[in-house]
Amino acid sequence: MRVKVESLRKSFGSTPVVDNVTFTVEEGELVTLLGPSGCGKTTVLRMVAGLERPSGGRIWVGDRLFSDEKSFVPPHQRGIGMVFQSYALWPHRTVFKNIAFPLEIQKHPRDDIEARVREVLGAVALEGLAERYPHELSGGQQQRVAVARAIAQKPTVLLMDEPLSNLDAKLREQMRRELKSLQRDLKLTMLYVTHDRLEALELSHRMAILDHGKLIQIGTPQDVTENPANDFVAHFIE
Amino acid sequence: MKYLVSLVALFSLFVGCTKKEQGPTIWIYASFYNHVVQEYDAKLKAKFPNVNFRWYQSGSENIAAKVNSELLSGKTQADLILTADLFWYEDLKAKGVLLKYPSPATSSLAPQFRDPEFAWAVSRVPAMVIAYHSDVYGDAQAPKSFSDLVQPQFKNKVAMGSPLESGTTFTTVAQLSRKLGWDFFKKLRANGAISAGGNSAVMAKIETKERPVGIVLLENIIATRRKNPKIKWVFPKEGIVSVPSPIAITSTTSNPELAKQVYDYFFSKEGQEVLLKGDHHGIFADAPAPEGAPDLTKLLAISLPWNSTILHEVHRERDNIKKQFTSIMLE
Amino acid sequence: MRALVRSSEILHGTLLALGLVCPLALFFHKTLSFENTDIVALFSSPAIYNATLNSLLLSLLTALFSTILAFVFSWILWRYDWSPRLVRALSITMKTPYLLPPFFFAMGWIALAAPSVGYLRALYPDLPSIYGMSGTVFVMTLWSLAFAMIQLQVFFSQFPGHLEDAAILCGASPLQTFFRITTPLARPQLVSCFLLVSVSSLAAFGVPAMLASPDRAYVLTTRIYQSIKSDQNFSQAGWLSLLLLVITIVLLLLQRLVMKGRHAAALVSGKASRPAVLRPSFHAKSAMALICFFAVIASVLPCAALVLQSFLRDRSDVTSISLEKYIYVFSQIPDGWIALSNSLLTASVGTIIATFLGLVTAYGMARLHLRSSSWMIEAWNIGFALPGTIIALSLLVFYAGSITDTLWILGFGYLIKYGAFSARTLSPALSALSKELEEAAWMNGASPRQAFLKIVVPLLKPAIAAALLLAWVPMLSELTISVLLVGVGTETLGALIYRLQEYADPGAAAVLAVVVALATLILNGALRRVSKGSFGI
Repeated sequence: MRVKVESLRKSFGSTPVVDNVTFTVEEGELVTLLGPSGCGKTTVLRMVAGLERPSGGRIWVGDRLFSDEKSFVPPHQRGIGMVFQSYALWPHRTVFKNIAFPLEIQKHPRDDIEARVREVLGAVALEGLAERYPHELSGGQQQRVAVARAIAQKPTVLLMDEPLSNLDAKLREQMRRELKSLQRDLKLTMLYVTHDRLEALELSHRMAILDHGKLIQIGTPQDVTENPANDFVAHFIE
Repeated sequence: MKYLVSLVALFSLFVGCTKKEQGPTIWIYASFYNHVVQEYDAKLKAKFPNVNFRWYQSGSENIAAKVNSELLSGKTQADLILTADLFWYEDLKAKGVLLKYPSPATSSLAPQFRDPEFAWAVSRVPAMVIAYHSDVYGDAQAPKSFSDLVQPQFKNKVAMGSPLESGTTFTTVAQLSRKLGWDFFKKLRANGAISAGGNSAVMAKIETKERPVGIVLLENIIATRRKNPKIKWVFPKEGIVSVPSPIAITSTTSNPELAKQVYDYFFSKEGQEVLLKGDHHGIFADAPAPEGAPDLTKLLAISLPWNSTILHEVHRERDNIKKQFTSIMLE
Repeated sequence: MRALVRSSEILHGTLLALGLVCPLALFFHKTLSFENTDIVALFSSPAIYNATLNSLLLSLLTALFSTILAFVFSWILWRYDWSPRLVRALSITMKTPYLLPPFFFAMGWIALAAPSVGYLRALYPDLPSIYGMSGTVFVMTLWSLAFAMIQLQVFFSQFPGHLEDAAILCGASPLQTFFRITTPLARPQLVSCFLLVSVSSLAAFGVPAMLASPDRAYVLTTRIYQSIKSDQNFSQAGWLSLLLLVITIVLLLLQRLVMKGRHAAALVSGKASRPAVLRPSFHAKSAMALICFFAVIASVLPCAALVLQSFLRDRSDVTSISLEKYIYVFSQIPDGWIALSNSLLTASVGTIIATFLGLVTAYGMARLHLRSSSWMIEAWNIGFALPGTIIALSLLVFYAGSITDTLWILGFGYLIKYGAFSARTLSPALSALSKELEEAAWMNGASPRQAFLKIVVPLLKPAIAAALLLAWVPMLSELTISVLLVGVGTETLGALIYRLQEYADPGAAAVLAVVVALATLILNGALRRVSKGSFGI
């Protein structure tokens, strides 16, 4: 579903962290939020998720208003999937139980849960590891479990917060390709936070570049590389 | 809000766990030993099947402290009080806390064993004597009198109870200070005697030979001798200290009629026989004496004198005696 | 979740108001407004003067000896190359006394070294009597050694060992590194440990009551007890409590001052590491032998004496082994079962309430950043620092004539004194738990309450078990508060053991102590096993 973010603002105390950011993510589109650390990209993502309350502005997903001055839908009622930088796999639950969690919460019948978990395990190529615990998996495998858990509930939007930053260079490249094809196959609407320009250039349909909480430029990778809006963008993309 | 409601509900569940009882309850505060309390409890339950008997069993002075602090906040929970510190009953009587009950069961008692206004009556007479461990002292070396205890051969060997905790010890201290003067206790202290706890504590010290000589109740010695005949007693030459131990009903009892029946029971034949199980001397001279002990008449004959003058004098001096003793023996 | 935290805070606040704030306020109001109390005479009487002096002596000497011994012992265990099994066995043996109330050790030492009858007298007839201030300081020091070693454990686990290596490379001997490098760096921890031990020894009641009082030496806590129980002098008890409180507060303020801005972790910049371990020299080996000796003296010997005493029919005859006392305690003292069930009930309910509130409050503080939650945790810490005698007295005054003969007043006392253990264990455990684990649950459709129950609680299980154990154990055999608060029909284990030991039958007291100790050690062992050694002692 289409995500629309309008004049989004967030300040901690008197310091603005996100300053009047507006953009949309069309259905089936992958938009990356790119910028140096501390530019406010993760805060934008967490506001879309509902993990932070915006200081101002509006967020829609499809026709639903998630957040404005008066109303705020808590994260568990938004139906959004999210992959965390640390993966946030629950160490006391097996891979199967991690992935089944959202379905258990929605009280699906057991057989449906079983089938759906097998399906997403297949999608991320993790068949056979269902009964392992997270600490028994490699970093790449953990990453896949995190993705599988996020898509198990068929989210309207999938958010990713630097999902590949904990992997080594070679694995990162492979996972990038896999994520790309997963997004295409499942026609996922995705908002993807990264500080790695290569990742952004390869994955994005469009990329949004942030600096000091402000959205500097948004456009296709080609647009941005060929017509950088200012020196900062030009330097950053180089 | 619904959490608060459920938390409060959970909480009140704990409150609700307190047991509800049927029928009237009689609280008895008694300075008896455990097995005597159990014996009385069983017999009383058989006699008064609809009544719940609850006991608070402790040393006389502990019971006094308990009742005094209860009185500070209004009324005491006790219906009957049975301890060994008669002087304190005089206090209670003066405060109007005791119910005056001219019981027919006590009409035959000698005048010094019954309050002229019927606030209390003596139901038993413990006797304070000297005990020693015969492994440590042969019969020839054993002390013959209280005054012997200040002799050098008993240095660091003598134990006695504390008048701050035990009622029989308080009476003993009062009587001995009258008879021998405070000087006696000063010498006792100089001779390394210790004063702590009640009679059981003294007996335990004699048995382990930690303190092979002690001023202790005859009833404790008789009971100990059954398992350990090496413990022996001496009736000191000055006279033994008999400690008239009364019963009283509190004026705040919620069941005065029932309390009176229970009061009478303690003077009945059956009630007095239970005392024998605790090796106590009952108050009636015709009752058999505890194992190996002289009967009540003989016991009183060799006791330091007891009369209402002494009672009133000691009662007036009660706090002072405790203070004196504390400064001599406990500081 | 916020609603749950908020509603339990109302309950929490009510508990603190009814158990701590109002009773203390009324108690001090009453003490200060007692008429015809001659304060000058009271405080200039030699008895009170001596008690104050003895209290200070007991608390400062105990703290001094146990801190120094614990520091030297920990350093030797940490610095040299010993077999890991030996080190583990030793540190467990030396820390175990912390799980048991100190008065158990006083009972053990009475059995060992009482004049003319102690078991050790057969071997060393000239052993000094255990009764008196020196015996009290001795037993308190041995018990506090465990407390001090646990306090200093954090220091050694976070101390950058390469600092010692560097000194060795510069040509310093191990002993020189100890005095010139490690000790100066440990100074704030040592001072803090010293002050904490002195606060706990100042509040001690059982050991001085059993060991010092028979020798006519009194400390403030035993004087207060006497004022209440024998003299019925509430105003004296009140003023002595105030004095005790003032000393406690001074010590605690000093401790805060010393540790201000200094977290053990931020001790020195640099990563924690063990120094290159040294081969034990002859001196180190002799020191190790001394540690083993101390472990035996501090833990094994008194416990063994208690066990032995519990099996003796006749305390003065070591060959009279029998089960008589066990049978006696569990079939003939009706108070035995009453005390056991009272203590179990009060400790269990108190622990569950404390742990529930501790968990919710820790959540409120760590996750919701509620000010009120931090205040409540601070209030629990105050309760923990207060001497038990003062807690008991204030409850006694506040609830006079209402709940004084019920288990409620005991429960209040225990909760105020030991409730802090729950929040103290749970809030670091919760802070250490990544917040993203919970956010991930929210993103997967779980409400905050579902996330708390399905993710946070299961992940905190070992910490919750530890919080339960840490609060339950001291409540089960609590003495200081109990002796003042037990009433008709509310005998507790601690009070019964004390009464049996002091008045009637030390053998029976030993039986109960052995049973309590055994239950405690088994639970601790189980906790260690379940938490793979990260909780328990």
